[in-house]
Amino acid sequence: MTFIDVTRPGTKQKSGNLHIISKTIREIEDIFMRLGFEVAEGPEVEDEWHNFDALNVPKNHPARDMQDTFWIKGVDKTVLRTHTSGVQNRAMMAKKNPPIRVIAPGRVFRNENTDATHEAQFHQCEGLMVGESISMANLKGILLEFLKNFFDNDEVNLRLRPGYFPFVEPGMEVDVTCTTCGGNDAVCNVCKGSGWIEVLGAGMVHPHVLASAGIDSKKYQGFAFGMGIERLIMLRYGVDDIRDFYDGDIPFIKQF
Amino acid sequence: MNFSYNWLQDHFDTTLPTPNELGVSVGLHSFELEGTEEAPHGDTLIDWDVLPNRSSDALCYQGVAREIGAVLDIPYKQWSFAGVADATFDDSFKTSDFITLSVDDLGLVKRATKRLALDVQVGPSPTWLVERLEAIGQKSINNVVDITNYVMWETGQPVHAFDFDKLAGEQNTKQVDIRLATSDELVTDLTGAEHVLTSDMLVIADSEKALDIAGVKGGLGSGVDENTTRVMLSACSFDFQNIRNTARRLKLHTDASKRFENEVPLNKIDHAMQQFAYLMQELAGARVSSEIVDTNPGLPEQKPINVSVSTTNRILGLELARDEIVNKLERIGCIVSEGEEEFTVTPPFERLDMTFAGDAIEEIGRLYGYENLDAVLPSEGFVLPQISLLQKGMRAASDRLVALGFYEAKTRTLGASGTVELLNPLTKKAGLLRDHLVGDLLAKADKNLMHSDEPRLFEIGKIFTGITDGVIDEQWNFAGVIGKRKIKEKNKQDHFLQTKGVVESVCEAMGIIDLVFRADTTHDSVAKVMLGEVEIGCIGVNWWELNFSNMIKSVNHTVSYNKPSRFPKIDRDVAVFVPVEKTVKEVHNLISNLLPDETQSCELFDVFEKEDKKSFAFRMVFQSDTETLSDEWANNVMNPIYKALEKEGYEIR
Repeated sequence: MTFIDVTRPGTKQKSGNLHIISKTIREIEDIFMRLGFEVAEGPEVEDEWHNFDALNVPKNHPARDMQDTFWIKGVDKTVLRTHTSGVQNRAMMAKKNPPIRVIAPGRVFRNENTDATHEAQFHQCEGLMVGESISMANLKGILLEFLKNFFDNDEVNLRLRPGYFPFVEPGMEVDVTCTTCGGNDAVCNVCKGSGWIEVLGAGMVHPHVLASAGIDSKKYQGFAFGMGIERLIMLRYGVDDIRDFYDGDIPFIKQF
Repeated sequence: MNFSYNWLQDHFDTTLPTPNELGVSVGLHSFELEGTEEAPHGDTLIDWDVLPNRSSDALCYQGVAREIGAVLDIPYKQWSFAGVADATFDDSFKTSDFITLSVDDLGLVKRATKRLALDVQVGPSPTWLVERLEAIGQKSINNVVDITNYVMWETGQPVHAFDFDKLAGEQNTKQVDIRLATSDELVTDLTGAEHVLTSDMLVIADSEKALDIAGVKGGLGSGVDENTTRVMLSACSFDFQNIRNTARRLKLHTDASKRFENEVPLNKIDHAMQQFAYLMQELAGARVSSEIVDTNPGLPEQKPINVSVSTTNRILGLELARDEIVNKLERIGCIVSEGEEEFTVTPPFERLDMTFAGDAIEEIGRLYGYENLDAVLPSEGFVLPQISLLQKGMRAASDRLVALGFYEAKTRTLGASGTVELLNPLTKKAGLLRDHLVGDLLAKADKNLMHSDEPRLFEIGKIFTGITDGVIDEQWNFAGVIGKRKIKEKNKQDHFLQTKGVVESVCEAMGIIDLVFRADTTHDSVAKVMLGEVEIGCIGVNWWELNFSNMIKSVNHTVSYNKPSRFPKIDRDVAVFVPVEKTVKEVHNLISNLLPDETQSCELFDVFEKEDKKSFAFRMVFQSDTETLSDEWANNVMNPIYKALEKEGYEIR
C-alpha cells in the first residue's frame, strides 16, 4: 500500500478576500435586513439642499461647521456629501408613505487634515425608521438588537446620552459596553476606564426633515441613527491607523 | 469648554459631587464629558462639549450652573457671590451727559449699551479673581481687564472696557458710533495686529476712527492702562451671521466671536452690565452711573411652546404623568401653563434652542434619563425589505472575484487626476475627483509585488466623469488588475486571455450574458467591452475597467431549464491551418452555421503558430434527447464542415 503522509500541508488554493469595510457593511446590512430594513444608496456628490437644508442644518450657522465640507468647483451649491443622511430625504421621497425602514451605507467626505484617526474620506451607515408610533424606546430596542448581533454578544448593553445633530430632536450619542474590557478594567485603553465606547449618533427625526420629504409630521414620527464604519472596525480589531484602510496593501486586506 | 470646578461651586450653597461624579452626571444628561484635569490653585477642570444648540445659554458659568441645578435637582444661585442683584449705583451723574451713542443698522446691532465709571483705580486683582482666571488658563492683567474677562465667562456676554479719555471728542462729551466699516478701514487690535476691514464688517468708533472690531476683538488705542481713571463700560449684541462672517474672513476666532456667532440672548446684556458695574465698584473703587445708555431696552416677548402629555409619551415611548413632565420643565426654568393634557411651556430667555414641542420633549427625556428608557422593538407593520440590483450585483461580482484569488482594495476618491475639481482641496495632490479606478489599482498592485508574485486586486467604486448641465456625472465603476513584474511581448496574448477569463467569469456570476469583446488598441487597452451594442468599458493585457452601473442594468437571472439527456455524448475534433490574420471567431462562425440541434458545445481547445500560418483545433460535443448517436451520424455532420473549411482554402490537419 502507498504510504500517504497526512501531515503534509494541503495544497494551497488560490483565494482572495473582501475589504474589511465591505465585509462590515455587509454584516450591518444583513442584520438590519433581518430587522426589516431596506438598503438604499445615493450620490457621493450632493447638492447643498440634500446635504444640509433638507436636514434642518441652518445656513450660515456654526452647526454647518461641525462638518468641514468640500465644495465642487464650477457648479453651484454642490458638495461631496459629509454624511449619508442625504439619502434619508431621497428614501422618504421614494417611499412616499411610511412605514419606512431603510439604511444607507456609503462613502462620505470631510475637509479635515489626515492623521491616524482622521481621513478626508470614510464610510458611514445611516438608518431611518418612520411610522405612526415609532418612539425613542423603539430606537433603543432596534439599536440594542443590532449591537448584540454585531458584537455577537448578548451581554452587550447600550447607553444613550444627549447629543446634537440638527436633523434630529431629541438628539443623542449612543455608547456601547466596552468590547475590550466589558467595563472591568479601570485602565482599559479603549474605553479609558469608563466601560463605554461611543459608536453611534441618533435621535428622533426632526419634523422639518419629515416635512422636507412631504411626510405629515403630525401623523408620522420616527428615528434616525448613524455610525462610522471605520471606527467600528478599529474598535473591533484594534486597527490603530485609519489610513491603513486605503493603502490597498494585501497583507492588511488578507487578515480579516 | 473647560469649566473650573471651584468656580461652579461658587453658584451653589450645597457641596457639589466630586469633579468626576459631576462630570459624568452632566455628561449623561446634558453635555458630553471630554475629561477632567488638575488645574492651578487646587482646582479641577471639567471639559464638557457644549454643542451649537446649547452655545447660546451654556458657554458660561451661569448657564452651566443652571444646568447642574436641573440635573441634580438642587437649588443654584445665578450670581457667584452675594450683593450683585440688589447693588445700587451712583445717581450723581448721568452716562448720557458724557456719551452719545448711535447705531447705524438696528438689524445688525441688536442692542448696544454703554455706562460710565468715574474714579476708577486700576490695579491688581484680588486673589480669588486671579485664581478663578488662572484655573481656566487666563492671565491676570489688571482688575478692570480681569473683570471684563470674568463677566464674559460668568454670563456668556462679552463686555469691553474703553478708556473714556482716549476717545476723540470734547473732554467730557464723546460720540460713539456702531457702524459698518468703510472699505479698507484699518483697525489695530489690542495685540498690535493690523486688520483691513471690508464694508460689511461692524466697528465701534469714536468721532474720528474705528476703535475695535465689533464682537470680535478690542482695539489697541482705547484700552485700559494704569493711568486710566474714567471707563466706558460696553456690552452689545450683534447679528450672529455678521460676526461669524467677520471672524471667518479675518481668521480671527476669539472667545467673544465664538459666543456672538452662536447668538447671545439679549437679556444677557442686563446680567453682564449688572455684574460688570458691581465689580467695578467693589474691586476698582469706581463710581458707576446708575444710568445705562441703551439702544434697545426691553426684551422681545418669549414665544410659548404647545406641549401635550400624549405627544411627549408617544415620542419617548413612556407613560409619564403630567406632574412628572411639568417638574422637569420647571427644573430648567420653564414656566408651564394650566391644562391637564395640553399646556404651554415658556422657556427661559436664554434657551434660544427651544422653539417647538420636540425641544421641550428632549428636555423632559434627558432629565428623566435616557438610561431609564426600556428597549422596545417596534410593533408597527413589517414590510419585506427588497434587495436592490446594485446590492445583489456587488455581492455576486465580489464573491466571484474573491473565489478567483482577488483582494478587494478601497482607493481614495480624491487625487491628482480627474475632471471634476474641488473648490477647497486639502492639498493640490488631492484636488480632483477620480474619473477612473484602474490607475490607482495598478500602482497598488506594483506596491504589492513585494508580498506576492501576482497580486490580484479589484475595486467597485464611484467615479466622476464630468459635469452636464450643472450636474456631476457620477457612476459606479468596476476595475481589476492582475499585477505582473514584467509583461513580455510574447506573453501578452496569454495574459490577456487570463484577464478576459476573469471578466467573463464575473459576468457569468452576475447573470450577464451578452458580453462581447471588440478589438481596440486606443488608450493602452486591447479591447472594448460591450454588452450587446452598448460599450461598458475596456480591458487591457492585465487589467479591466467597466461601468458597473450599466452592467447592473443588463443582469438577467432568467433560467431556461433543459432536462439532462439519458443518452451518451459523442465528440469530434477538427483542426485546421489558417492564415495568421484570421480570428478564432471567423472560423468558429463558419463551423457553427453547419452544426445540428444536437450540438452541446463547440469550443476552441488548441492554438499554435507555425511559420506563416496558425492552427485552430475545435472540439464538438453532440448529444440527443431521444437516441444514442452513432459514429455514422457524427460523420454525416462532420463531412460538410470539412468541405466548407477546404472551400475557404484552409488546410485540414
